[in-house]
Amino acid sequence: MTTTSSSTSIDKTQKVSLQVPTTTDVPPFFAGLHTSYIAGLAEKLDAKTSYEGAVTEHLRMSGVYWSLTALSLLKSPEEVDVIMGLTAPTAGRPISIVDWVLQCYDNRSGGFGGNIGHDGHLLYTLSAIQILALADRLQDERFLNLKESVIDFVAARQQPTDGSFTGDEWGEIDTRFTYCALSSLSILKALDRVNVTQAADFILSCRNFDGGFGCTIGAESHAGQVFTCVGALSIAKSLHKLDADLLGWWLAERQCDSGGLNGRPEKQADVCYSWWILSVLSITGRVSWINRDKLATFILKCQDDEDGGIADRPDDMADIFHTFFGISGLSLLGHLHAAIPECAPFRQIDPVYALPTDVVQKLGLQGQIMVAQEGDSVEERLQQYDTLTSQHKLFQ
Amino acid sequence: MNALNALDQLWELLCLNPKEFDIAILRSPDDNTKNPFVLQEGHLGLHAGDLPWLARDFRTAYRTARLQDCDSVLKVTSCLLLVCPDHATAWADRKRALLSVQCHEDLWTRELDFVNLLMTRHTKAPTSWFHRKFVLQQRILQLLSALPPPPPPNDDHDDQENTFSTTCTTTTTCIYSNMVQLARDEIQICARIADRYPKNYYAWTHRSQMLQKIHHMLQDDSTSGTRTLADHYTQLLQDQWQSTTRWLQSHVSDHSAAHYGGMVLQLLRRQQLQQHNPQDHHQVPDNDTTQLVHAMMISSITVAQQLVERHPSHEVLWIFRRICNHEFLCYAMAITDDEDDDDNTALLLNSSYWKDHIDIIFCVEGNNHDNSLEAQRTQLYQLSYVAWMLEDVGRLAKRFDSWNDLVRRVRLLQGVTQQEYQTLRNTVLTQLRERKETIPFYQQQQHPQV
Ligand SMILES: [Zn+2]
Repeated sequence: MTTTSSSTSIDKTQKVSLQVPTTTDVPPFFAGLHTSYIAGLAEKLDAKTSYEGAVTEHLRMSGVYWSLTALSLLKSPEEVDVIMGLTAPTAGRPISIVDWVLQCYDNRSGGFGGNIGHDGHLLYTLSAIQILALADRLQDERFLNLKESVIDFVAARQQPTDGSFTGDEWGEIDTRFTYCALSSLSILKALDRVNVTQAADFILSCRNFDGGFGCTIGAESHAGQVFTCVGALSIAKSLHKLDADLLGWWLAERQCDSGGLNGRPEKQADVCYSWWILSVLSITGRVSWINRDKLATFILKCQDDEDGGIADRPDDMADIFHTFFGISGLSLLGHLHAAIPECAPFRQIDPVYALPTDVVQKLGLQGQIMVAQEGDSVEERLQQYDTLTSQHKLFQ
Repeated sequence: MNALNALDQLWELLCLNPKEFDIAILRSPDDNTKNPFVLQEGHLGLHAGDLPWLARDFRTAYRTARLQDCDSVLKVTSCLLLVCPDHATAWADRKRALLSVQCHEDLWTRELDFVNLLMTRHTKAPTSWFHRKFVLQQRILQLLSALPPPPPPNDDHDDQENTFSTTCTTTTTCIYSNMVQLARDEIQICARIADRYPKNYYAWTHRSQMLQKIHHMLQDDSTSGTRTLADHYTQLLQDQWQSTTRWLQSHVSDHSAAHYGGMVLQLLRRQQLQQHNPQDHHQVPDNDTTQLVHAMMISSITVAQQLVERHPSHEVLWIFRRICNHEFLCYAMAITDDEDDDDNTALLLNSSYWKDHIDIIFCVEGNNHDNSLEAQRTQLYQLSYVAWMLEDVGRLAKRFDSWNDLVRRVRLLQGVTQQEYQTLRNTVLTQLRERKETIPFYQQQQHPQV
């Protein structure tokens, strides 16, 4: 693949055309229901009879991040702050989310745990940093006091042998952790604390014959892992090492008859892959390789039209994980803004950092994206990134 | 029932032989006792309705216990992890406790029994799979600690060294056999999990990592015992290939298995290559392995072809055919590297490879009248497969100066002209585009120049 950097030649006025399904059997997007679903979630999880709440206590940090980000795409930052009690306690809650996040810091390891009193882990450290970024509290004095230790914790996860990252002190290696580490350090402006080239090379060693990536070397390609790998390569500005055509082919084949995307061949379509796959197609400039209308319709059909929230597939029970991925997927499709005019002043999702674009822009976060062909336009939301033009070679 | 009672009761049940039962979640309580656990007919049943309070109470008990002794930690985390299997901190405390208790011989084997029990019910918690790997690593260290030290660098006393080597080899052989047996046990457990929970990503990944682990040991270690290990390993890979293709016959949509099969072929390929180019004098080229691998690479093409012929509407089997062809191409490249390659190899590889692919196109063209969804899907998989294969060949060709150079090196393409290659590719792409208004991907591709 020949690549040329051409970040200067992009016409910033061009926009990718938005596709809105016009058929009548497509449900509308229930913005109001989703807002109340997310707003009521914490109370529901804390209820004594909640199974969900009981078994997800140890990953509450991720749940809070999913809730906040999903809601951020529907409401203004000020409204999100009030509804969630982000920077000041909301009614019925003793402390704000930011205070709680800071309490989840694990002194022993230097990372953040999934809840108060838990061991530090890269997964939750990234979520914690993302929440602080959303709350615009990265300059909070209490966090600044911890910042160096957090950076140390993340940097120490890199293995000198192959550049991979472990999730915590115990040594589990997974391409997810590479993404968590690079994203965390990029947000904290400390990428120079790790060997970024070696990190990218480890990701590439996990590439399979089909162009996809698994969780470790030799592991089956999995669309979820593909996101973490391509996201990491984007932050490492190493997309030129990617075989974007082959990967795009494999990702395009994930679209099922229902319009939904699956994560592996002959698995059921699932809303979460809308995010994992769309973000990669967006980063590599190949969103048009799938049928966008059909995918938007599939996501809309997975909404709970009574209580709000989005499920993994139609008629299943909604959860916050899929609500986040469904709303973010619609945002990447450009559907969200086209479908609900009242959302237009609000925010879009960024496919590299999984944060609202204005947060990414404000923090000046770095990364790289691709356009599939010379002359392709770059979506407005991606214009802060370096652009790589891949002259695609498939079937040439 | 209070938390302490529930905890004690569950712990008591877990202290019975956990190998003899599995965990079941009971959706509708069929007894009216207040007992949250039922042990019958090899199942340890937990009532679904009790799970929220059990999880909460176990968590509360865990907060106290983690400040206490190792036994308390092991007891409470055993119960907690059965309801919250992805609780990373509980797994971490468990590792700390295991590492600090007096190391008795069966500590790690017994820990594996617990993980096995947990995995009869919970198979998708990444941390539990990592814990499994951690325990195995400890077990392997335990096994390897019995290895004799490397022979002293002493050239003067030949007799002495020989005696030393013989003793070493016997012990080493025995330890390496145990290692391979350990891998086989793990593989069997993964197969059992994949049977109950189809397409389980973690089970198949773990299974493949077992194979890769031995591969790395062979690469790293050049002691005299590696030859035994290599032999065991080749046999293991061969068995894995047989069992995976058999599995695919009855699990026709299992992409994890297809990927694993590809991994086995790749490891076999590399195993042969490693023996071909021994880095040290201990290893000599092994003709048995060479012939075995050669036969398997050839037959993999046929096996994949037979699978799609039997179940043509399954995407996974067409992907399996892609995988086998890809591995085959890599293999063909590698072996024709040898200058002194004999013509038999070329002939074998040459036979009907290209014609088989042309036949697929004819077959699709002949089936144009069948408009059923299944037929349409099949045609799509067939065409995509050929397109993929041609792309794979095309990518290979780019590594050479000319098409003729490619054909000279990859003999299975012998007799195929570049013109024929282009024509076939154009035919496939045209057919794909005709079928593809719904899938934009192929429409995006520009028409290749003839
Ligand atoms: Zn999902």
